[in-house]
Amino acid sequence: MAKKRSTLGTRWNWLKSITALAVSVFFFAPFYIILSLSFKPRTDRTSYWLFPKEPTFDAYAYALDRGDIGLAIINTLIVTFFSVILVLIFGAIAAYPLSRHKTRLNTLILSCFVGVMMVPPLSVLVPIYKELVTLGGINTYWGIILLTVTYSLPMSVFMFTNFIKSIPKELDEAALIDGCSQFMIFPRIILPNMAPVISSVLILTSVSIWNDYSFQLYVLQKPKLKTITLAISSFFTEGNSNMPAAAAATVLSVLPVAIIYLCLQKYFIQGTMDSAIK
Amino acid sequence: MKKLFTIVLVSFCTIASLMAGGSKEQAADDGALHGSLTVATNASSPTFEAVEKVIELFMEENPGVEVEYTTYGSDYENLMKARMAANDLPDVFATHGWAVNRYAEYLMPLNDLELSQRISPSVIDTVTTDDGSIVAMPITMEQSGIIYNKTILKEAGWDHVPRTLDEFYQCCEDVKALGIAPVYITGKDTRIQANMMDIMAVSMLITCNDAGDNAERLYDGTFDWSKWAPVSSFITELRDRGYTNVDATTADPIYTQEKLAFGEAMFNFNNQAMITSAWELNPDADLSMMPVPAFHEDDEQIWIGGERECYGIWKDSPNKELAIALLEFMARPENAKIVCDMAGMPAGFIDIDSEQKLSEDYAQFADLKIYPYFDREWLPSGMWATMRTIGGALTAGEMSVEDSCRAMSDSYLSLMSQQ
Repeated sequence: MAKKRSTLGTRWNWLKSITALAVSVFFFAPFYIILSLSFKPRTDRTSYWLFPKEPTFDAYAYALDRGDIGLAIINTLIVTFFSVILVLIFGAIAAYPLSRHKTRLNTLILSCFVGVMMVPPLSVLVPIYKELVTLGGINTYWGIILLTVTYSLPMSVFMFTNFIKSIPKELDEAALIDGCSQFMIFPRIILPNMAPVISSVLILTSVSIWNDYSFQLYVLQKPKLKTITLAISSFFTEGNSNMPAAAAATVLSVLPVAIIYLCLQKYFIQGTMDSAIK
Repeated sequence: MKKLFTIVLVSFCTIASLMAGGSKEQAADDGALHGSLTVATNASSPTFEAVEKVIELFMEENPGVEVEYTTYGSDYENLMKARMAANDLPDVFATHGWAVNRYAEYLMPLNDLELSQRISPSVIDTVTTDDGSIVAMPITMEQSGIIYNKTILKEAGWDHVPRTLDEFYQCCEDVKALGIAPVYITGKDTRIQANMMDIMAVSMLITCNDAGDNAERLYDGTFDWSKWAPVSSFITELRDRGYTNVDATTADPIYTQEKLAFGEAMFNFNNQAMITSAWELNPDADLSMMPVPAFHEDDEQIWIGGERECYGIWKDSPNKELAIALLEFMARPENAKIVCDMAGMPAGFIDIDSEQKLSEDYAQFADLKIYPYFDREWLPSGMWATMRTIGGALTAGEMSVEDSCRAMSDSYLSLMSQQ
């Protein structure tokens, strides 16, 4: 009986492994195609599934030289880094009173944050663009950072608020009894407990900013300010496309995000689960 | 806490420092030009590279000037609409066929510049407003009809390009028998179907022998839109007879260049720039441009044209002096020739002797008249979107020809009432 159970268990494990492998292959396929394409010359018309017999780095050279993908990565890093820092700081600071002081006003403010998340950002593009022109924010880093932070904050406030609600209020009271001031409770007691949700917000926000196209297209119009998405799109114009160069640029731009994600994925998964549980 | 404070402080300082810079000046105390200019276009390779080369020469001649030249490709129109709404346009920008109908009120008249005297008579009307202001400078002009592959045409047993619509359908039938897609449509972006209707509508509604007073009625808003049926039917006929590629409703335009370059499509409704792009992939591609087929047997064939790579100066630009200098430099015969030769497009000036692969083919039809695109001349601004919608729906079989006429009528009346 025990032997039969063990055989069943082994089969079940095999089935799980095969399913996991199949799913992995399915998700890896687009990356393989991009990688394979990036090593092909522009005139190579073989199937995307076939890796080139004579791989070439021409597309990478073109992407770095004509596409200025190196500068685009630096620009994207600047926009993403400062936007995420500001989103984390303002999001956490705003979320603390909203979660701890359950007044009618705070409930209304939180509802407003959630409501704003439902508004498609591009639907208010023209007034925002006009405002940025008036402020002199077009073609500046601060312009795109301001816009990005504005649209990323509601989600971070929402996630932070839900997470802080799950931290027992008794911790605040104990800190007060131990002599901690009201203002220092947040940085000393609450903030250290928020690591999982901070990594969650950090990853979600940075990936969304890293991949943003629409806002960056309108705000960053100078070639020297182009971000990765804008640089990649420049390989596709009306009537002309350079797929290998676009693929090479994609590989180069995916690497930083992939490395960050792999380093933080443990926190990401944990944080997503924790912030979902009140 | 201190660390957090430091991070915030450093962040703000860095952002503040990033904000600095980017001043625009055009001081000319020493007689030389100084300052910076922004130039925007929707041009793709090789036109973009050609203009970029000329701009680099301009910067070499004027070391104190920095020109930022960029292309926004298919996003250009949307970007320009937002910028027009905010009255914040680039110093110099491409007008892509809309110099008069869309951009005229934002452009500076160029009549006082010497270059305006050299603009070709066949294109000058498309950049001149009703009050006689020349608002843009066409470096190249368009002379389009239908792109075709000469080798496939011969293989299909044709020694001349189809002259009438019936001949065009017959030619499609012969090409289909060879196992090649006769007409390549890329329905993922419905611009191609709109372009097909835009071209055929001129032949079917304006230049045909039974056109009557269609043109006048389109101008005054009394056009009978049931007459639009043949234009929509052109797309449904191609679809029903199997003369399009099998993936016509989903094909991506980025593959057009490849299909034409390697002889996998016979006809395509695009301008000469597409042929030049295809030659980038395969310089031996036997491509050419044929005039628009006549609607009836006794009608004349026509060309569709207007300005192509055409630049105007924003009337509120703080750098007008620099912008004028740039346009004058680009208009010099030797510089305009660079653009025409590299882009493979006819010159928009009278004194440019440009050598192009297609010159001989064009010479065969030198006596044919050039007409503007239908929507640019006879429709109110905004109808392009409607044409794209119905073009896509007709290709996919989601709309009947009658419904498309109604949709055109509704959109036309609505836009005319807003004028």
